Formats: sequence, structure tokens, C-alpha cells
Amino acid sequence: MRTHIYRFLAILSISISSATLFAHSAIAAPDIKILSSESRLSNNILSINADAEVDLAKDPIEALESGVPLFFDLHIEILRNRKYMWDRDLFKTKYTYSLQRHTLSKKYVLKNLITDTQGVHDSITAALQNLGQIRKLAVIDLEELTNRKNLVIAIQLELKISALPAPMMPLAYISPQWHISSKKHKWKLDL
Amino acid sequence: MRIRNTASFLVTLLIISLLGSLILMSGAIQNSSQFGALYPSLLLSNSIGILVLMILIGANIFTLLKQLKAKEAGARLTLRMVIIFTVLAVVPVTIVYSFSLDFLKKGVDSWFDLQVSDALSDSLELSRESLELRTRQLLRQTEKMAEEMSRQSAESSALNLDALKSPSALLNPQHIPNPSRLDQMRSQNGAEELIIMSGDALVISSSEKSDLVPSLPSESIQSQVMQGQSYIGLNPSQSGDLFVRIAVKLNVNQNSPSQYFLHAIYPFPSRINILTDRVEIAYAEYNELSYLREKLTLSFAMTLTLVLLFSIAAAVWAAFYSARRISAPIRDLAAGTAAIARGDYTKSLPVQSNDEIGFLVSSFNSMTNRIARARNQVEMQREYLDTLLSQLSSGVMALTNENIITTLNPAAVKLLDLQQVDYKGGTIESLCRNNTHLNILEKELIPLISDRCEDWQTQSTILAADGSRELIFKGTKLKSDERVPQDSLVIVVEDVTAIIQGQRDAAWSEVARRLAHEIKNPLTPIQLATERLRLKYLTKLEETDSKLLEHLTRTIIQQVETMKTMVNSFSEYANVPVIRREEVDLGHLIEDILDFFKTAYPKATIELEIMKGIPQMHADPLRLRQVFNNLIKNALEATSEIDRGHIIVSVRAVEYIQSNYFEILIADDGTGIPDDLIPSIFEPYVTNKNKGSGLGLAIVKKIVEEHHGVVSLKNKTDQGVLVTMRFPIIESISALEVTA
Repeated sequence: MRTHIYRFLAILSISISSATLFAHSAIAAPDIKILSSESRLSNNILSINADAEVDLAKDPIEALESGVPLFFDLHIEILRNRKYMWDRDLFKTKYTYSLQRHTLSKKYVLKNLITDTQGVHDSITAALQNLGQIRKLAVIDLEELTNRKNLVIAIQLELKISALPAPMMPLAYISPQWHISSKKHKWKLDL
Repeated sequence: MRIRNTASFLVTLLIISLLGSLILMSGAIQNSSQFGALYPSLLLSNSIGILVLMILIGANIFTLLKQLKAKEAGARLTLRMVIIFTVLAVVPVTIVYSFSLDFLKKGVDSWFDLQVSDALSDSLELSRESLELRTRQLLRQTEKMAEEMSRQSAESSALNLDALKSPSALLNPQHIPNPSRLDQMRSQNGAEELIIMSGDALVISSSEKSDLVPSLPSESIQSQVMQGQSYIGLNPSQSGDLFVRIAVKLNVNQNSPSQYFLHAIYPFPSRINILTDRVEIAYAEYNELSYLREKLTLSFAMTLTLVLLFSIAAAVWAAFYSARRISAPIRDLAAGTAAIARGDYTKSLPVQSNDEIGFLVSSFNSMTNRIARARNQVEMQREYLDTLLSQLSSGVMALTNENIITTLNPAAVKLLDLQQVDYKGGTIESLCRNNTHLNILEKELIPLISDRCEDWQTQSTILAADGSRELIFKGTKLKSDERVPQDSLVIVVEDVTAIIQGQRDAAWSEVARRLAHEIKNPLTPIQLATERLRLKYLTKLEETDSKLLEHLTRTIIQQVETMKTMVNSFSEYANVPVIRREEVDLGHLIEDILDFFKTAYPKATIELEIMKGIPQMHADPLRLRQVFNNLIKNALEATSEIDRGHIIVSVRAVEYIQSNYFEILIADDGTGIPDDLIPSIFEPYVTNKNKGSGLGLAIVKKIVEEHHGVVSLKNKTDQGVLVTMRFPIIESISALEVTA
């Protein structure tokens, strides 16, 4: 009897965890749309251009206006497309952007933390527009890839909740307003 | 036990993990740089952990309620202890929680003072005003530079900007604006960069303090300036310092097809930068903290609530665990006592502690062990007694004071011809009543039993399936003592049928032998003398005397003949002939006999039913023929009073008490036999017929027994008599000889 109860509890715990994770993933509806993308090869360096539409909800804007910096991750992956199996990861990289309000100047500073470049914008709209304009972003030196057949490049832009101040995280994880992410955008890499 | 320990260990591990997780979560709130990334996972895992703990408690409550409903031992004690432990744990924790929550809210609110907030806002505003003054001044300087450039452009070709836009101008150095003049202007006005740009975003000329690539204005700035509105903007630089970006339209030659503007970047003095940076940081941090105040309070409250829930859940679970641990030995003791009450002496309780309860459990275990040992000894003795009784050829019955049968050995079952073996627990009266053939015992045996005599003996005849049995019942009263809890009666049953029958047969044989010897011998001289008397004097006497003599001598001769026949019959009955066994087809033999009787008694209906596949019988065919002759003749004579008699002869193979038999049934619908004659119907001279010697059935019984068979007779319920014979089916003659 007792064994049955514990077995039941174990199953219940697993179910609750699964349901929580499922609900978590279900809440994370994409609010960033990647409109177009292309890859370019110059001096064996693969770079990408992309245009995305980034839309922030009320809560993130309020946080930004209150001086809380927002962080965005641009995930870039190079995969090998396989016929009968799932794609194989060949390369992964990530660009992180920070968006912060400069109170004194009343400007919005968008900074690429990897390339250490920044843009200053008069409005949030302009800053988000600039965030969506991905230009000449170096991805990989193709010397690193020996086999260049059936390559696929995938990008995903998302708001990084884990970079928020700790007091904000519990609510951010619960609230769908903070789950801002694009779908994984893939295209074939013609070299 | 092992499962329970594993479960307790797992739950303890869960509680420790939860505690660790809560400490980490608390750390994550206080120092997000270290544990911030872990916060969501910790929150989720803690919530799930506490939920699991709550479910465990729910399961415990459910089990306890079930135990209370079933009134299980120890359930009430567990409930009381759980309530006490829970109240002791929950009340102080809840009080601490409510006060902590209140202090937390007030504490966090107290960090954000209104005056501080206003002061920071004012300092920010002051900084802005100060910077604005400076930027206006810089705008005026830039506008002056623009005016000067516009004037020079009109006067000289040094700033012939249109010429620069044509490709050939790049090859003609005279059209290039004087860079030294631009540098001079930049230097004089304290600018970081000066750039002359066309309306279509071409850099006409530039002057930078450093050798870095010039920072160009955005398209929106360009379009704003081209519309005639000067742009002035305060921008943070890469290093965090502030700089001013100013763009002013150049009023060049009105005939010029293009429009131009001057773009200038001015840095602030480092002292101002430091001060504004401090104001910016202080204000931004205060503003962020102010924004996070609610969130922070909520996070702390959430963590505190989780800690509270965890504490309560852990305390309640611990209460259940402790209560069960404490009440477990008591519950086990109660279960053990109940098991002993049921007669289960094998129950051994686990000794879980070295305290008084542990000592009690040990004592209980040793007590049950001793009882179990004693019980085993009794069981062994009983089994030995049962084995002994089962091997006895005499039947043994034991009765209680209330005449309830406690022992009935297999021999008794067989002797009393009981079909159902298990009569234990029933009374002797019900045994006699439920078995028709034992009804007679109710009159003869029960009074003796009820009288409670010390020792008694009686002989009774019962009619078993294989014939009547002479049984001797010897009763002995056992008085109660320390070994026998109450008075009881032991009855030993002996079958003396064979002995009595043997004695009776021997007596009849002796009578027959003596009759043959003592009577038959004088009969011949009597007969001869009578015949001689008849021959000598019959012709000599007168007619009257002669007739009388003839009548008397004939009577004497006839009676002598009758006596001879009677004596011969006795001789035949007394003789022990040699049986000549051979394989006999029973069906064929009976058919032969019946054919004769069908001819002799045409009015009677004689049916024969023979089971298919019955084996050959090892028997003396002549003796068997005599058996069937006698029985069928008897049946026909019994039905002769009826116009049309009906006789059925049935032959089949049956299994009776694990042995195979030929069973021959002869049923008639005749007048039947008076009930009082039936027990002795197979005795010599016992008959209900006027004619006959009275030896027919006695001879039948003798021949049947010579063939190791049994014969019985009873009145049918409707009309007539049923004779049943059973002969053992023996595979071969040699086996029969061994049996004999």
C-alpha cells in the first residue's frame, strides 16, 4: 500500500514538473519576428544580415524606462542538414545586446557586448528598430568547417530573462509579457 | 520495513535538498550576481519539492483517516501526537512569518526616502539645466562657424563646396577646402570633430582631434537639419562620457544646386563629466531600486512564504514520522495480540528500540515463541494420535459432554458405512438421524451415551450397503482432569459380523452334518421296511385293510422321500465344495439362465440390462448359475401372484470406496418381504414362502461370499424387492488366489 503511494507520488511529481515546463514553453510565444535574412561570404568569413521586428510589451518598457537594462541574445547556429536524422550542430555562437536608458541625456543606448559597439537612440522605437537591423555580423571563419555540404544557418533573437535583476525574475518567468523570443529562423547556406 | 526506511530516507533527503535550495534562493535574492541565474530553477524546484511534501502529508492524512475509520490500533495515539507536534511547530513559525513579512515591507519602504528622491531628481534636473546652458552656448558657436563658412563660401573659392561634388574636383586641389582653416575653427571652438556634409550624406570636409573615424550623424538628424532646424543633442559616448552633437545648416551660394550642413561634436570638460556621471549613476540606481522595490518585497515575501511552507510541511511530516515511530510498537503489539487471539502464534514483532516498549515487545515475542513451541508439540502429538487411530482396524469415536463428535477415525467411518467423511463437530444424534441405516443406533446407542455410564457395551446390527453388519460398541467415560478439560466419551466400534457369521455357519453346518448322519441313515431302513411291508401284506389283506395299508405306506414313503430331500439340501448347504474358477462372461451366463425362465414363465416380463465393456469374471460358472437360478426363481415366485410380473436384471461395473466391482441388481415388482425378516433373510429357514426349504437365499449368500462378494436385499420403495450383489473385479485368477 505504502509502496503504491510513493510510486503514485513520484509519478505525480514528474507530471507536475513536466506540466510546469510545458506551460513555461507554451507561454513563451514569439514576439520577435525575423522578416528576412541572408548570409555573405567575404575573405572566407561568413557574415549575416537580417531584419527583425522587435516588439516589447508594457512591463519591459516600464522596466527600461525605470533604468533596468534589458539584454537580448542573438543565437546563431550552423547545422548540417541530414536526411534521415535530426540536424547536427556544427557551430554555435551568441551575440548579446544591452538596451539601457540614459537618464540624463534621455537617450536609449543599444550596445553589442561582444563587439563593444553602441548606438544612441532618441526613442525606444528607434533603438528596437536598430536592434532588429543586423548588419554584417561575422559568424565564423569557414576554414573551421571541413565539410561544407548541406549546411543550414539558424538564428534566434530573444530577451534574456535570466539577466534581469533577481527580484524581477520570478514574476518575469511567470508573466508572458517577458517571454519575448523569435522562432528559430533557418535558411540554407549556399557556399 | 526496508521500504519504509528507504521512503523515510528519501523524504529526509528531499527536506535537506529543499533547505539547501532555499538557502541558495535567499542568496540569489541578496546577491543576484552569484546566484541570480539559479533563481528560477531554485524557485521551481522548491515549489515542486514543497508540493511533493504536501502531497506526502496528504497521503499520510488519508492513511491516518482510514486507520481511524477502521479503528486500527495506534491510530488515535498517532492523531493526538500529530496534532500536538503540528500545533507546536506551526503556531510559532506562523507568528514569526507574519511579523517578518511586516518588518520586511516596512524595512524596504524605509529605504526609499521621499527627500532623497526629490534631491536626486533635483540634482538630475540641475545637471540637465547646466548641460543645456553649455549646449546652447556651443550651438551659438557652431552657428557662428556656419555663418563664417557660408560667408567665406560666398567670397572665396576656398569653400567652393559644389566644385568638390564633381568627380574632377578630387583631382583639382584648388577646390579642396582649406583643412587648416577647419582645424583652426575646431581648435578655436573646442570641438572634437567638425564635419561639413552634403544633404545627400557625403562628407565634404572634416577635422578631428583624434585620428579615429568621424562619428557621422544619423539620417534623422540629417533630414532635420536639411529642413532648416538645427540639431542639438546630448549623447553618451562609448566610454560613458557625455558629448554634444550639433548640426547646423550652411547657407552657401543660393545658386548652388546642393545644400550642406556643419556637424560638430563637443566634449564636456572631464570635471563636468565626472559629476554628471555620478549624478546619472546615482539617479539611475535609485530609480531602478525604486522600481524594483515592489518586486523585491514580493521576492522576499515569496521566499519567506516558501520557507514558511517548507517549515510547516517539514514539521508536519516530521510529526507524522515521529508519531508513527512512537506508536508503531504499540500498533505492532496490538496486531500481535489480535493474531494470538486468532490462533496465529507465529507472529514475531520487530524490536525497534531498547526502551521499555522494546522490552515489552521482546517479552511478547518470547511469550509467542513459547506458545508456538507448546502448540507444535500438541500438534505433533495430535498428528501421532491421528495416525495411530487411522491405522486401527477398530473404529474409534470421541464425544464431548454435549455428544459432539470430536474424533472419528477412518475405520469408524468404514464400519458405520458413512458416505460423508467429515462428521466432526456434529452430534452423534444427527449422525444417526442423517444416515438411514444408522437409525437403529438412535434407539440402542443414544440412551447408553446419555446415561453417562462409566463403561458399557452393546451390540447392534446395521444394514450397510454391502449387507448387514454386527457391530459391538464399547463406551468408556473419560473424566475431566488437567489434561482433559471436560468429561468425554470414547466409543470403540468392532465389526463382529464375520465372527458371528462364521460361528453361525459352523453351527448350521454341524446341524446339517448331524441331520445327514442321524436322520438320513435311519430313513433308508424305514423306507425299505415300509416297502417290504407293503409288498408282503398288501395282497394278503382284505380290500379295506389293503387300502389302508397302501395309504399309510405311501404316506411313510413320501415323507421319507421328503425328509431325504431335506437332508440332502442340508448336506449341500453344509458341504464346502471346491470352487473351479474360470473366465465367465457374466452377461452371457445370465442371458442363458433368463432364456430358460422366459420359456418356463411366459407371462412374466424379464428384462436384462448389461453395461457395455464389462470385463470377464473369474468365477465358478456352475455355482453362479445356482445363485441366479435361486434369485430369479424367488423373484418369479414373488410375482406369480400378480398376473404379469416384471423382473429387471441389471449388470454393470461400479467403483465403490476406490475399488471396482461387478454390481448385479435383480428387481421385481412382487409382494416384497416383511421388514422384520429382512435383517435375517439370508439365514437358513428364514422365509416368507409356504413352500421351499428356506435354504435358497442362505445358499446364495454362501456362494456369493465364496466369490468374495456381498449380497444384500431390501424392499423397494414402490413395490417388490431389490437384491444387490457385488463381486470384486479381479484382473486374473492368480491375483484372486493371492487375495484369497
